[in-house]
Amino acid sequence: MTKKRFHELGVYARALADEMGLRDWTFVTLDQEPETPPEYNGTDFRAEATCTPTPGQHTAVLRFRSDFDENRLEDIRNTVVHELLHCHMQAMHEMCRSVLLNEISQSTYNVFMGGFDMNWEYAIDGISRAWAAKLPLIQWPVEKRK
Amino acid sequence: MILSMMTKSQRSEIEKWLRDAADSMNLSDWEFQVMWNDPLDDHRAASTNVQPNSRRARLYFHVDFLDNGEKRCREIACHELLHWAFEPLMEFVDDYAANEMGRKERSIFNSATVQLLEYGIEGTSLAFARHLPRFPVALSL
Repeated sequence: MTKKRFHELGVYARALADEMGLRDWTFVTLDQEPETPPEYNGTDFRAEATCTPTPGQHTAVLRFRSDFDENRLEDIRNTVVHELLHCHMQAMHEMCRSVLLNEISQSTYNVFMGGFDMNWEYAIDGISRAWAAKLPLIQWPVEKRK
Repeated sequence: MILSMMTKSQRSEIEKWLRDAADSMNLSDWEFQVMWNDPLDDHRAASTNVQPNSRRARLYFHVDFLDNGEKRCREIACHELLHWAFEPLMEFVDDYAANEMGRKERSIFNSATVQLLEYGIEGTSLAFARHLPRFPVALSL
């Protein structure tokens, strides 16, 4: 992804966040590869993007794959809306994670959070796909040919 | 207008709005029933409950629900529909708490999860509802 496109992606995420009721949130878009969760090692799944909210704050870090801009515009929109929607629901996720982390064994915690995250992602994705269809597509800047 | 005074066609108009809204929110597989004869009369404007492990829900509205005005009715209805998407997660969390926590811990844990879920859904619904059609508050007689 060119620097111009990476910048535009940050502008686009900000605009969608404003539309999605996240005007009070601050987003930092980092030029770093998103980490695919380790449980998907050895599968074809790879994270296109991640959103990492700061615990207890209305700030989050967005990361996109370096070839994220090669996706269809509709898929880019779905992914950005999905990641941003996590912010609305983050407090509940963070509460469960932090409360249980020190109260139960590591293995029980892993099993619980595995089930929690799976249910969580399905819920977020169902809503975000519906919502994304009502929001604008990204318009990549025209780049001069060399 | 209070809910109990609504005619059959007025109720149908709201049910159609709810069906269309659910369809546009990726909840088209869900079946629902509006409990017209069991309106809420407490502090809640609306409520929903889901039959466990199913995609069947009941919707309850306050007896004075329509007095909220078009925009707020739309937001509240959107909020209730969004709950359906999170129902599997909440069943999972509650099952865990029921089996693994003491009564007091479960009570506090459930209060916190439900409260934070409500805030999250409310924030989502306020923005999402802008994309839904106008709620039929000005019902034809």
